[in-house]
Amino acid sequence: MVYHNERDRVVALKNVNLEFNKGEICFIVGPTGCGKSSLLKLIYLDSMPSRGRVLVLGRDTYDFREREIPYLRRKIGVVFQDFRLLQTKTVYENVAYPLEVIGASKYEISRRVPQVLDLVGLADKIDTLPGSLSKGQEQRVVIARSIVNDPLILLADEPTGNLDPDTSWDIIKLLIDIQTTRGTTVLVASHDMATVDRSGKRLLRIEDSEVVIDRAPRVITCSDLKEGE
Amino acid sequence: MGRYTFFFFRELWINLSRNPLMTAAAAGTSVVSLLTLGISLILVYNINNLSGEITSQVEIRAFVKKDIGNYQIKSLQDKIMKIPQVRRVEFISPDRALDKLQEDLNIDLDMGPEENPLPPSLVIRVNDPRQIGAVADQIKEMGGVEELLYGESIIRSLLAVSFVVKSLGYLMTMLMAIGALFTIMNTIRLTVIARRNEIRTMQLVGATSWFIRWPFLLEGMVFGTVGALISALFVSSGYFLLSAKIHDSLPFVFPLVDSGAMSRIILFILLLSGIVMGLAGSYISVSKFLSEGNE
Repeated sequence: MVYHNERDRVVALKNVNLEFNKGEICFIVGPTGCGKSSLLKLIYLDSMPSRGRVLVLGRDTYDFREREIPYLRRKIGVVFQDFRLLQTKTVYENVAYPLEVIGASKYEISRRVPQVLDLVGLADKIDTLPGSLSKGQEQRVVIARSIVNDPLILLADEPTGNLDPDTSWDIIKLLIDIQTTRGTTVLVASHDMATVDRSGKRLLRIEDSEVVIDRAPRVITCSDLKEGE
Repeated sequence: MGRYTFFFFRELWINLSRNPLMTAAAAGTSVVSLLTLGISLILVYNINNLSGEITSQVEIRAFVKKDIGNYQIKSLQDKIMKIPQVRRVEFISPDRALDKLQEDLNIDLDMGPEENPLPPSLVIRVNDPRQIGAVADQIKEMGGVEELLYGESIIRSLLAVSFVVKSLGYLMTMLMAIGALFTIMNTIRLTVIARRNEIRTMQLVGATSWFIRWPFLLEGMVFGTVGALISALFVSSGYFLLSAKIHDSLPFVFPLVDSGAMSRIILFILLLSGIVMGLAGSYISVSKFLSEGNE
């Protein structure tokens, strides 16, 4: 996959051959600029591969017509690195937005939004504007927004980027919880190797635009859990 | 819109009420832009009115030969009336002509035993003052007419001046409308630029282009409508006061367009312009960012 800017031709990903199974969770690690975000962008159709194929939910991304893309994105929840919260909307309105998009009823929205806010531990922040939240709380709102309409895939781009180690681990646990309880396929891009390694889940390492490690899930030891707690 | 109507109007309210400064700036700019358009409309309508008044006064005066009788005059009048361009033919008897002369000059002419020297005449008004020469030519050929007076060269100059003034008026209004369009569109563009990240986010969570666009279009319409209503109120009130003053002090100088009719015209044109400009501004700006997101 190649990016072009005015002067340079930047290779974001090359020689990548990956498959993610339904209901699987996978952590993608690597240094900043290695291609983690580019990999996620290919999945939610924010970028297209310059060479090769990307299949999302069994369909080649090049087969999607422009007007079909929003409908695919409704099946994919994305936790953005920069949060991307709607600043003039309250926590409730932000989380409700994907449900408004799909035309959910007022009753359905009023049932599901408090549910997911409760899940991410923000039930008491329902009427707060994003500007009054901490980074960790903003991150949780984004997670709530990304799962509120039960997506088939959840992509999280540096969800622990600006957070302290305790909050980071809480977020990782929350993502694992979403995968196990809801059966959502979860892909998490992170440069925080130490935190994600504790999870014992499948781990991909990307360096210089190439996948250098694809490690299968391992059994979690007691020390992993203790460290995590 | 359909099932999303309630959501779109709620979005509109949220956007307007939670961005008060931006809302005030956009509405204020619309008011000022449409105010200048409204003033130029008043000028153009009054120039047209004045020009119409002057040109409608254009007439041909045909002095009838003294030796022809009333029956022949009536027949001449009928023949002239049959000319397609003629609007009205009025017979002025020598006595009426004398009365009118005395009235115009505000004097009492005592003719004594003398015979009234004024000849009978026909006053002919035409539909289009530019046709006056052609009509006069046809009347000349009818016979029974002693002399025709219609000041062809003056009429030509009058029409030319009227055309230039009217054209300048239209040009000015067009420039004002274009200026208002660009100002309103750019202001709305700024409000959209301030929220371009929101548009991108909406796209990424699966909103379709029209789902994103509608609240912005409604906002544009609100800015245009508010701008039009406020500026129409200012312009109409100003015109009402000014025209009353002119009417009181200089009743015969300017035949001004009635202020009630003018207010209705102003309101209609400004509302239409405001809504169209607001919609166009929003549509163009949002579409630009939507397409950037799809690249």
